[in-house]
Amino acid sequence: MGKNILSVLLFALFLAPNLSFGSDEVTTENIDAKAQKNKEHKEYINHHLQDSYDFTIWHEYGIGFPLPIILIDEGFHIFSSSNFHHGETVAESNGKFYKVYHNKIYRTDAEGTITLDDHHHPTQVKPLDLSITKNVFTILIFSIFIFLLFRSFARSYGENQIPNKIGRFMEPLVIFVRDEIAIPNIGEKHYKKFMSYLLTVFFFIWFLNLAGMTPLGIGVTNNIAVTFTLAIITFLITLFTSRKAYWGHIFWMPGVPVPMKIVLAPIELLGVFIKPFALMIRLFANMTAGHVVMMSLIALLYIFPNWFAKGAFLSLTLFLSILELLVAFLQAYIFTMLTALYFGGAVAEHDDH
Amino acid sequence: MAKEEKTKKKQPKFIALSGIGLQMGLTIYLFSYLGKFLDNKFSPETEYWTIGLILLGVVVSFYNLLRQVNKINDQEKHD
Repeated sequence: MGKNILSVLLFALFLAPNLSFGSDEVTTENIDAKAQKNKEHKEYINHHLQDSYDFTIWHEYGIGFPLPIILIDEGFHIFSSSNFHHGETVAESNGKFYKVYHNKIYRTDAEGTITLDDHHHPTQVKPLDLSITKNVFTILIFSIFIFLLFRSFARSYGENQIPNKIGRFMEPLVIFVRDEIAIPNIGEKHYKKFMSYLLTVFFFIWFLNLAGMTPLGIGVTNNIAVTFTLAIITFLITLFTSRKAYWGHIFWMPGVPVPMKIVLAPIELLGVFIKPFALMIRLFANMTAGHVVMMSLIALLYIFPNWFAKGAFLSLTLFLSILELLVAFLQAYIFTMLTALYFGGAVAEHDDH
Repeated sequence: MAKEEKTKKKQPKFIALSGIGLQMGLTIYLFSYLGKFLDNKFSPETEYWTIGLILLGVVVSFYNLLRQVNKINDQEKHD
């Protein structure tokens, strides 16, 4: 990989003196074009980060496929997202008309009128949207993939004790989650009942983070709804498995003077909600930031006229891609680790350490 | 059992403090909010409640932080 970066840099150096002419004249036209270009890049990045109703692989050439739209709006509506023609036309279903406005579906009339209120929000009715969007589709595909992968992995143990081909890769990771994450944080006694959830969450986040690194544009973990759901599940499991000592630590902190016990109680209660909230924000923000930085660097390739700068940004993008591969694993690890830590606190039985 | 002790030592325990910044910030914010409310209610000219309660919030959040750090340190010593 280092050799690749080096050759790109050399290439850039070689071309730098030859190809940077002709773009140094600054005119008002130039500036306008540049501002327009910047705006386009920004829109492209935002579009990439958002969920969408059809699975678009190559936006410019219209390569992709439509996905089903499912709406509950005084009845059940199922139709293909191709009826929207990428949000340009009104779709009709059972006598009702729908239009996509800013990536949300609204009920309108046959002309597709959208009226805005003072806060620039549409006044039209937003039906309950259960559509299989790009993110939902990706999650379903990867869930099936992970399920099949682990099934074949588990089945190979029935025949002999040596793991099969996938197993040789997966076994150390499963052992890692058990020995490095679950047992130290939850404890030898209770860790077993949490293993299924910890493994699921670890591989789900890791695989989907890696999927976000592909050029398909399927960033699922940079959608806050997905991380919210994961955090909520952790929160609920923590609450429902909690023992007496967990609530004792919150409302009547052992080992501190009585006035402090009273002051700490509301703060610790706040902490119960802050912990899953921080989990949600951490995964969402890290993945979103990674994607924004990467795409901004790629956009800079098109903005800078200098070939030397292009080479530098290309190598920086390559370097950051490798870093993002690490972050993909790290975020899955941290999420699982903290989840295990909260479970450990919930099932702790005594106060002495 | 010996293997388990080995893995325990490798564990970075301070990861438990990853959400502490948010908790401290929110604690101080809530104390200041309460202070403002009390100032508006009892003495709208002065701001002693706000200032006093913000300082108390800082003290409490640091107390909470130190308590957790000490707990982690004790745990590490035991392992």
